[in-house]
Amino acid sequence: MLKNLWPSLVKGATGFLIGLAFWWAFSVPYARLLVALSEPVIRIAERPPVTRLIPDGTEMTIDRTDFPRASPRPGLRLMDLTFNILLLTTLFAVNPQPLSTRNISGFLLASLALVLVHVAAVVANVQSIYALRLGPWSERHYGAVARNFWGAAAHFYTVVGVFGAAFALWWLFRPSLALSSKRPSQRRSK
Amino acid sequence: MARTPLKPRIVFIAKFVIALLGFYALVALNPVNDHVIVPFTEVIARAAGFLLRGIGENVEVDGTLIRLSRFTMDVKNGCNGVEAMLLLVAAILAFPASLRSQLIGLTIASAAIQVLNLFRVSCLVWLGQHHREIFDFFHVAVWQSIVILAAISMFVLWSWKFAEKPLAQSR
Repeated sequence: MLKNLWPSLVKGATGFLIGLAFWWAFSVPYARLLVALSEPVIRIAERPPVTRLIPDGTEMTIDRTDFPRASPRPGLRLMDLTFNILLLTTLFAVNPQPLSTRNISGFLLASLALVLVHVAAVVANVQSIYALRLGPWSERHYGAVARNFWGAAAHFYTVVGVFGAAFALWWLFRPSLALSSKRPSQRRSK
Repeated sequence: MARTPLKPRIVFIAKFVIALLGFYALVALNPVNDHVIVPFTEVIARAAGFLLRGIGENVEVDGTLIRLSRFTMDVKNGCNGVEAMLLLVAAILAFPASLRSQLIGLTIASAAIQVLNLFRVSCLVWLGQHHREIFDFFHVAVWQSIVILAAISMFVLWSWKFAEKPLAQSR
């Protein structure tokens, strides 16, 4: 049984390293993309829309036009929210026939869905900072229910959601095991 | 992709998400955190201290704090293996299998996760003491991924060995 695990371990390690290289190399442009996608979502619920997200390397600064000029601006480390791409690439790499069209198209669809998950994570984290970390300002603008909701949403993502999202997307978009394990001759005869 | 049966996957994901949210809500409750999670984390810290003493480190453990001469680590939620266990429990319970299979899977996989996590905590403390420059990278990216991947691998192996085959045969 252990002998049978070696190919999967090698494929998994390769997928992990590819994911790591990709995540590391593209973390700065990806931070810009996430900021560009998340800012309009946050501003939808604002009257007037005041939030400005400013990318700063792999992090972002949260600014509001109604904040006092001299007050410090909170920041968010985006790599803490996006490292589940490593998990996703590893899981797709372990699939049977990892370079097949079905596996790669599944991976691309899952990655696209993961971008939406990352946008939701950024929104939840920004709202959590607004609701919990800005002292009297937070208490003035967020009620008890909203404070608990946004705090729990951000914490849920950090503790289990970040992993659960990658696992769920892999499970949803992975090629069917039954189809993958069939011999080529069996597939042709269909 | 078109031939892949989608409905069972969506049902599984829906059950998995509901179970994950439910278990998260349970462990996030203050009484559960204070009377179950924190004491459990203290046991992990003590066990890691025992392991580190075994390799010659001069360790002091105080609650969830593990102290070495140049590095102190506070084992918190996210480092106690509970997140991997929540993921595993939610996945196993969401999967259509017999209760017996689920209990076997939960027991063996949870124990294995905790053994691996003990090694993670000990390794991170050792890295913090001797190679501080790579501690953050290993803490955030490497060990978290390894523990979660181990949990997912165990779930996949379990679903093949104990659940998918018998279910397929019974159809």
